Amino acid sequence: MLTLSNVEVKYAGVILVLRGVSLQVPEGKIVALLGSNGAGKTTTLKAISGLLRTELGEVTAGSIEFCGGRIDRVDPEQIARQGIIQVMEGRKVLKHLTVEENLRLGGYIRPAAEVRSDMEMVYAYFPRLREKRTAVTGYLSGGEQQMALIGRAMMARPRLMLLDEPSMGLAPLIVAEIYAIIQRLAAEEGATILLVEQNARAALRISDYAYVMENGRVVLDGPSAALAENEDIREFYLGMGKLGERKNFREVKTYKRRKRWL
Amino acid sequence: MLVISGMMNGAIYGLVALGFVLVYKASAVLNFAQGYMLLFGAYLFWFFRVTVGLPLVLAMIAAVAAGFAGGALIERLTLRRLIGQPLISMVTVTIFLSLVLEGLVSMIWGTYPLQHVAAFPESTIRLGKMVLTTQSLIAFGLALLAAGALIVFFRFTRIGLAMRGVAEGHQIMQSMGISVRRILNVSWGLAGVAATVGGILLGSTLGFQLGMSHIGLLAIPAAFIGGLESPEGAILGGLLIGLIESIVSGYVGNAAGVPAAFVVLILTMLVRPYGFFGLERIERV
Amino acid sequence: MSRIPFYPPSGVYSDSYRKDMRIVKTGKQRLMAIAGLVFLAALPFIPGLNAPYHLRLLIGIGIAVIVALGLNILTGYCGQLNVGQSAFMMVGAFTSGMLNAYWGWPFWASVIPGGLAAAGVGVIFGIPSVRLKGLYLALTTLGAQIILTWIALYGVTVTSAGFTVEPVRLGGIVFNTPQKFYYVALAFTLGMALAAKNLMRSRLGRAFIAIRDNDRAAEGMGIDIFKYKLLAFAICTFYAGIGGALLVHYMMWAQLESFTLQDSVWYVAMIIVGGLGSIEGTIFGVIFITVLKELVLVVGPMAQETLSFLPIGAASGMMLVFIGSVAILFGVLEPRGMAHRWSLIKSFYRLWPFGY
Repeated sequence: MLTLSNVEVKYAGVILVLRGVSLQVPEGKIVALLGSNGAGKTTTLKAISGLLRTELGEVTAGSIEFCGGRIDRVDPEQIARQGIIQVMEGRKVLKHLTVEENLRLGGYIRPAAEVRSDMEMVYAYFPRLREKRTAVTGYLSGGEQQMALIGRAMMARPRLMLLDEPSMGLAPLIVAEIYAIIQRLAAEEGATILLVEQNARAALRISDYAYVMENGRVVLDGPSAALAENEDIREFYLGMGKLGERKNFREVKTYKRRKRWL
Repeated sequence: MLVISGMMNGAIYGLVALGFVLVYKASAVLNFAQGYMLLFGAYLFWFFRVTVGLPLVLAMIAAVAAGFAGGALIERLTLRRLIGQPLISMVTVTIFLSLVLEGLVSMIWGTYPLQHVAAFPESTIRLGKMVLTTQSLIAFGLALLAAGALIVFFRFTRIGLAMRGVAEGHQIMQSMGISVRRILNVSWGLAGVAATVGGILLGSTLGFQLGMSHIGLLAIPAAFIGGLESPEGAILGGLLIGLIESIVSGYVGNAAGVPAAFVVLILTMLVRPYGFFGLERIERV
Repeated sequence: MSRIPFYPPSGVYSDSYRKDMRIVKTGKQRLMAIAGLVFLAALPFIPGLNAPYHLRLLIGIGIAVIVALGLNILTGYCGQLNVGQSAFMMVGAFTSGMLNAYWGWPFWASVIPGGLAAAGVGVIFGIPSVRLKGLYLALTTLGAQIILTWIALYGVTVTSAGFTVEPVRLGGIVFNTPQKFYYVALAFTLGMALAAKNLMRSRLGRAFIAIRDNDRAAEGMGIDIFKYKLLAFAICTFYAGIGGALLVHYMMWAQLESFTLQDSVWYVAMIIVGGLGSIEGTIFGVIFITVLKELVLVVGPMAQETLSFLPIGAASGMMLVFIGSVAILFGVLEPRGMAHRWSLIKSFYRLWPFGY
């Protein structure tokens, strides 16, 4: 459905952030994109959704294709209308508007007649949003804001949802709740999701396939279940050494293995 | 008498303040060029009425339509390219814009006041001891009407809601497939309309002259005192500022009205930082 | 380093914070700085450049740089918008001018009180910043402009009419021509710019930046934001006051018309065009705007004469359209200011030939 091949992104013409990223998101699957801070995950999402361009960023090489058409030179609004909706990190709700107004804006590109029923669908997934319908979004708790964000994206009935760190700064219980809903969404609505996460454990659990990024490159990919068993992943991202062994950071072998990635 | 004339002037301040509110609500930009857009709108009306010789109503409609087109054109040529840039660069552009508009007006029409044109019958109505001009009554009514229409517009229409969204962040709106450009385009067009209506009213009371743009100076405190996001606040703020101005000028003299309005404004802001009807900014660390 | 290489060093070799914050990092930079200073000092003696007109322009730029620097400290570093800078300049100008004209204080004794008086008034108008921010605060400074102008016009008889001020004297030299006053302006401009640059690298500057970026977070780190905001106001208006004092002693005449709202707006435009939060940017911006304004003054009347069929004021109107359009174009193409482009060019040069 979505194919990135050798995408290179520069900011302001001088800073190279992505150094040739290739990945694929097949229809109806959840694909996770993992990596540490500054690896280029968010930039990848912004390159897809086109939001890069308002930040002086530019796709300088490679191509991004969505359902057979190139979208790397298209305006962000157009990309969203084609069905790619990004849920940005950092809980960017429209904080002075009420929850319902947020949702209504989410459905802005949809026919007005269907907005009502879509809103009911969102409320069915997030009963908590229905309770807070008339509350000003800026005063909601972090978890509720995240729900409002995902709900707002759902209102657009996206063919592909780009989720940027939905677990950021949330309590484990809330994270679990949100992930359960994402999984349900995928199962019941057949949604296609590209998920960016720091929380590798949670992301690997719900995704079908995963890519690992370092320094603007994809360094590893594979089915999520297989990656979760991968020795390097376990050690670097899940914080688990070999069973029963004490971690020793000076161990040369680990260092070399890690270095290979960068 | 001072009270009445203050209220009537205040209604015009309120109308101009509505123009500030419109742009601010849709883009979080304080449009420094609003006073000059008003000047330009007034001269457009004069052009259609005197130079082209259209009948009164047609001239008004033409001027308002041209005002919308002008506002939209301004957005198209300048602010569109700044989407996603820091807000302050947009504000600067409006400052420069006021230069261009002032220059255009004096280029086309010269710097001398133009021949007087009355937009409304210059009759007077007596209410007991008070004498009211029809013009000021119309201005008053129009201001209230415009504020009411805007309140409904922002609360219930799709595009009004989208304008409020755009003010919160361009990227967010783009990520939802809402064209920030189109929304901004419409809101600048509407600001052009508000400026033109204000210009016609003001021009037919004060005369068509370059000094008209100074009304922006009094409309700014009107918009702030009411709260920058609130149409009803703009009208009430306008009335309040009009009152203060006319009473203080009447009793103290020496054009003390304007500074007095600002003193009141600063004191008000200390008590209510977001004006009387403004949106409280939600901030989290 | 014993020799001065033509190429910049291959990377950033700062191994401590102190080194990283140094203004002059390489020998080449030092060489260029010295060359620049020598050029500026020798300028009144270079034929072709030393016409009184050029020097007057440079003096104007120097004074505007001082005023705009203060504004950039408050707006660019501390994040508080001020659209009444020229009113504070007026306070300094009239204080220093009146001390000189009525009590006979020499320039050197009255310039500091001028700055302090401006700072005092500035702090009073800075008090609302406890609760206000952004555009709302800008409004109180707009109020300052209008209220202070009104007081000067109706409240004080001396200031409404204008009065003569003595020129600057040092020993036996009277700085009453552009050639001579140029050095006074140059010394003050360089001194104030260096002071600003150093101040903003200090603990104080870091506190300002923290307040600008997020005042609540700054408060959480133990920065007394009210104190620092008032301090920023004081520094900003102190610079304005010094600039005003210099202006009246240069013109030898103090008048209200030199300090209008329009001027305040120009100062804001200067720092935004140049680059918020950048000392070098301030200088770029001042030069850019001053030259544009000068174009209007020079070319406008000339155009009026040749195109006499147009209505009165059409030519100056045309120039306004021109200057406004240039500035808008500039703002659209370079919304983050000239300093941003400058740092991009610098990093391009440093990294060349490998773009990243």
